[in-house]
Amino acid sequence: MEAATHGTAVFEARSSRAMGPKTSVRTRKPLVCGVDDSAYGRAAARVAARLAERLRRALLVVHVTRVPAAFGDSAAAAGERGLRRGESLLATVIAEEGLGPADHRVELGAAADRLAGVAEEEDAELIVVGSRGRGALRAALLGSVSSQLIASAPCPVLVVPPGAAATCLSGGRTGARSTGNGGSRRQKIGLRKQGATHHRPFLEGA
Amino acid sequence: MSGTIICAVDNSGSAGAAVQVARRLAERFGARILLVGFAGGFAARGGNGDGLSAGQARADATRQMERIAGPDDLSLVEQRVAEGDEPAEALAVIAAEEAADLIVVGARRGLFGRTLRTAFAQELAETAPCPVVVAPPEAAGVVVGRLVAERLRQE
Repeated sequence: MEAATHGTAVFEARSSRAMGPKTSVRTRKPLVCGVDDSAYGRAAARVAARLAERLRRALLVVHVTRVPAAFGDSAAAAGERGLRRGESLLATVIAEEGLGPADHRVELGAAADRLAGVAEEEDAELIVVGSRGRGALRAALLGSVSSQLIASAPCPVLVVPPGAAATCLSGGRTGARSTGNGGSRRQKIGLRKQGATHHRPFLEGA
Repeated sequence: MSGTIICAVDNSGSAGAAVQVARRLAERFGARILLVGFAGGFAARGGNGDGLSAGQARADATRQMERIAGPDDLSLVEQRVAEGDEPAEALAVIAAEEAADLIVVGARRGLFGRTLRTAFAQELAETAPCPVVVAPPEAAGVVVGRLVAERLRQE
C-alpha cells in the first residue's frame, strides 16, 4: 500500500515541525476525529473538540472518502476530485461546528483502515467517531466503521452513539456518503481558528 | 467532582485495559469512576457463568470488580452489578440512572473471534445514552496479561 510506504516520511515531516516554536499542544498525543457531513459525524466532531480542549490536546479532524474512478476518469483525477470535495466538506464542518483550532486532513481509502492508520502515524491518544445507530444486519454483513475501528485501532476509540449525539445536536444534516475505491494520498489543509464550542456537563468542569 | 465515568468490568481480559483508560480520563476530568460488573447472561456468555444461580453470579461479578480494584484504590470503590441477559442494555440503563458522562469498556481483542470481541462494544455504542470509549487490550499491558493468565487458570 502506498500509505504504508509513505507513512514514515510523512511522520518525520510532521515530527520536525512539531519541534518548532508552537509546540505546547503539539508535542502531546493528539486526538483524531473521523467526520463526515452526517449529523453523527458532526456530533463526534463536537465531542472531540470539547475533549481536546479539556485535555489540552491537538485535534486532528479527518475525513476519509472513497472515490470511484468512473466514466473514463483516471484514478488520479478521481482522487483529486475526492480530495477537493473532502477539503470543502471539512472546511464547512469545522466552521459550522465551531471546532476551534483543529488541524484537518482528507484521506482516500476505507474509513476504518485510514483512521487507524492516521492514529498510528500521529501516535494518537484517542480516536473519536460517531455511530449511525442500530444497523445490526448491515453491520454484520458489511461491518461498520466503528466496529472495524474497535477491532483494529492502536489506541482507545470513543464512539458517540446516536442517543448521545441527540443531546448535543443543534441541527445537522444527513450527508451523502461517497463510494468506490481510492488511493491513499493524504493532504493537510491548514489551520483554522474558531471561537465558540458547545458544552455538555462532563466537559464544563466544576 | 464533575461527572461520572462508568467502567465495565467483565470476566474477559479486557477489563484491565478499560480500568486503566477510565482512571486516566477520570484524573483529567476530576470525575468519579463507577465500576459495573455483570451477572446473568453476560457472565454465561463470557464462558465462566454457566449454571450459576443469580446470587452466585452477583457474587462472582463483585469478586471480579474487587480483584480489578485491588484493596487500596479508593477511586474504584463505587461499584454496581448489571443483571439480565442483555448486558449492553443493562449497562445503558445504569448509565442513564447515574447520568454518566462516559462509559469505558474493553475491546476483548484476542480472546474471541473478531465478531464476538466487538459485538458487546458495538451494541453498546449504538444504544448508550453517552459516548462510549472502547479500550484496546494493549492499553493495559501487564494488567491484561495477568488477567488472561488468571482466566486460563480458572478454565
